[in-house]
Amino acid sequence: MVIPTEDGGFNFDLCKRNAFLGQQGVKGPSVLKTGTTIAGVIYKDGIVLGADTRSTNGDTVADKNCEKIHYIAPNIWCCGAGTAADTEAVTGMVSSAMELHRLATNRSSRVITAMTMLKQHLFKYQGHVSAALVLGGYDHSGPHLHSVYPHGSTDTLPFVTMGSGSLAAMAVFESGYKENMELEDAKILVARAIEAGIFNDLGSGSNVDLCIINKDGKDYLRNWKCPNERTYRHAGFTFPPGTTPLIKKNMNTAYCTSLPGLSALVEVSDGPEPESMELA
Amino acid sequence: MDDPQLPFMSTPVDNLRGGLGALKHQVSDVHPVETIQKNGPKSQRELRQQMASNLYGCALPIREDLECQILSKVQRLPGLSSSRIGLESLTGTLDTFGFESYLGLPQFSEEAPDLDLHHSMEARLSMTPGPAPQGRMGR
Repeated sequence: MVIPTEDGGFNFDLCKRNAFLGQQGVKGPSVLKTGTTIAGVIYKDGIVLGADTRSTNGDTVADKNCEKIHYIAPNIWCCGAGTAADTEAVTGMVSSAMELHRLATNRSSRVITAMTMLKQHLFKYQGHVSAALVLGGYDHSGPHLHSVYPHGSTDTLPFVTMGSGSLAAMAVFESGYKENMELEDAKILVARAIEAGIFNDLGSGSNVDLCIINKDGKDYLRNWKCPNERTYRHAGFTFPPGTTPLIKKNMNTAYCTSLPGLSALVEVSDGPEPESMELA
Repeated sequence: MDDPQLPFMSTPVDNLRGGLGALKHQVSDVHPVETIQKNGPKSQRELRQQMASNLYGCALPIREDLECQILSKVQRLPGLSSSRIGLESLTGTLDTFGFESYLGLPQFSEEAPDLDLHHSMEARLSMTPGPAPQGRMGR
């Protein structure tokens, strides 16, 4: 029996073409290294999630202030490391599924539901969906913090880090974590961990985003720390009129009335008389 | 990747309707995700059925299978997309949202659907020997 399913999904037409081209010796683009520092801790009343804001494309910094803390549910947020498109797609799909689930059950979301959805999805794709996540939230059974690896395995710990800067961040957590921390201490600890990634890992950089989730809701602190402000910012250039010498003062096009500054600088004259065409 | 086996042809290939095609080329999966996408729903269903039969006995998956068969028959004519809401609520896909829910949907396909209503219906009702046309909307 064939049970009909939804017809959508990935299209692999170009994949076959690319495999053929690869056999002919054409070199395709290779896999790029990803870089991120994300972290989270459980404090006395809830969760503090943290992320850096650098987005890289190979060796290039593509975005100096991107958002890596994604929405899952009003009480659940998720930091994403790995391929940016994959983390966005996965968290977006899970947030949609959570919304549908909330509408179906008429209850607020549980963190474990989101974690199960994430790990089932990631396990299904066997690591081809490159998303390493730190999932945190506060539900009826208290604060929960999980890390989800790209192949679908999960950890449940009081403090977790992910991404290429995870070692630097984990070093800070392992030396500075205490149980039942106050909110301010937890914020400072997470920011220190992310800053360790920012300064010691080349794939991470720019600012620190924080997201605090407790029973009163969430507090998304965008750019809570900006340790890499530009110290010298150029004001821009102002050139006096006539700085650029005019070589030719002959324009065949109609003169410009909408830019008075331009027409003041450029003398508009008629071009040479067009030669009469021969009409057969 | 090992050499995939050619499928056993149970019906003659209709080159006039289906077009000329290298059979082996159509069979082989180039990307591992293609295999996952193709076999994922089926293997997941089998796993669920196995789990249900281990827990509750084989009557439950058989009954569910029967209901699935009945509900999957309820669909519109070929060429019109079927909503299959009964089937979706039975299998639980109403609550899920994956890549197949928003990527490469047939209604947003840039190719025109090569649907032939009469031939599709004849193939579905086993009135013609050939397979149904392989257009994306024709299923």
